[in-house]
Amino acid sequence: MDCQNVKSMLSALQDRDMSGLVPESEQLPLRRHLAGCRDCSLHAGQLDLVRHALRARPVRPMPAHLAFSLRAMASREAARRRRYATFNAWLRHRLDHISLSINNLMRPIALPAAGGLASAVILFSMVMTNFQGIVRDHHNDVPLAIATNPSMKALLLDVSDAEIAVDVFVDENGRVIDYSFPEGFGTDNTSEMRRKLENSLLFTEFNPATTFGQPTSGWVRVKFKSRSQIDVKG
Amino acid sequence: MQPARNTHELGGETASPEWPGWPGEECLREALRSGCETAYAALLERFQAPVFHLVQRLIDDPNDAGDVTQDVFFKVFRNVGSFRGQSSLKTWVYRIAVNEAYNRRRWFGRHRRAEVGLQPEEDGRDYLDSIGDPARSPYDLTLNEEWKSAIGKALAGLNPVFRSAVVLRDLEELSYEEIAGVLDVSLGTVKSRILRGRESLRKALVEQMEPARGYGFNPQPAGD
Ligand SMILES: [Zn+2]
Repeated sequence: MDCQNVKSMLSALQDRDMSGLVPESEQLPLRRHLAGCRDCSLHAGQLDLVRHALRARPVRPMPAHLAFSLRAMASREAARRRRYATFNAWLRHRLDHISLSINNLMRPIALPAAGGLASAVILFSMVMTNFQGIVRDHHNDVPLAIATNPSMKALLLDVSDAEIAVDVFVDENGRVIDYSFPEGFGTDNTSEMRRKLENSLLFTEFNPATTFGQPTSGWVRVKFKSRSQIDVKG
Repeated sequence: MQPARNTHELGGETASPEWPGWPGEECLREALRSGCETAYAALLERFQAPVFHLVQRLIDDPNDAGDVTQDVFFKVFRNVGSFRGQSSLKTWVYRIAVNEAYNRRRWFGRHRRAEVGLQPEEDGRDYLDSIGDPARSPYDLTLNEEWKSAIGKALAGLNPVFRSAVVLRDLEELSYEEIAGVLDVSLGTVKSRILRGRESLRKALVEQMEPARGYGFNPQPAGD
């Protein structure tokens, strides 16, 4: 154990609770070295003297006026904190009260509001039950109020004397896109007849079908019975 | 020498009731939070003299100790609501005191350096007033005024970081753990600050006393 080592441990040795600061195993060698080394024991003595000099420094007793003003401050601050605590409690109470009154306010109108909402739902579903969009089981379905079928505006060319029927597909602009002969009609389905029919349809004006007022495409059945006797069915 | 020490012993290691009249510190803390005036009085009763003494030892001008003590308790009272008790009340109050004293020293150093020279002997004279205290130990009597002013100078020249560690240990007799809590540093740092603080004080004292009379101090350098 050299002097440098010893001096670094002297501070810890000064403290009463030096256990842990200077290991038990080193305490005896330390004291032995101090007993033998003049320099180190002098160093230790000086440290002791420093501590005693420190403790000998007088401190002033607390003046009475300081104690008095501290007490006044304590009283003031305690009152302030109480006010703060009271305010907090009051605020909490108010918030509870407000939520309670909102609750009470809502209760009388809760049943009418729920009833109103329920009846609105029921009425809406009653109205909307019939609404199935523009889905149609058959192209010949009777149109609903919200959907109309194409209709013929004007026939510009004669077809024939024969009685024929034809299904015409009319686009949203009222033009004929396609046609077909329905089952059981158009007995004299000849190429001559077709040419005539096509010419005729080409110069026929239709009103397009509508859905919710918007023009759309759709089928229409046209029957040519005889000259200038035309029957149009949706 | 320290009249208030008898009634306000700082050690507190013994399990003696630290808060007479209170079931425990937690209860006192709760009462402080709710603004109970008795709790405020108990806190003052327990800490006002220790804080006043601690502050005197940490600052250079004892005339400022009263102001600093008031600042300390103002902060304590204002913040007691947010004090959650991670440390003991003692550690917390001492921490505020050390910080306030340090702020005062800095402020003092910045703004009032010029005034120091005006009353150079004031400290010494004030100390003379309290020397007639019968509670002094026989050892204290062996230290004359020269020593007292020497240790005063040494303390004033000591880095405040080391000074607070040494004061808390040697004068307030806090444990290393308590000092670590007050200064908010590790135990190792506390140890090293105390060691270096004491060593600085020793050197400063030796330098002051050497040329004068040599109170048993050996002038030769430590040879090994
Ligand atoms: Zn040695």
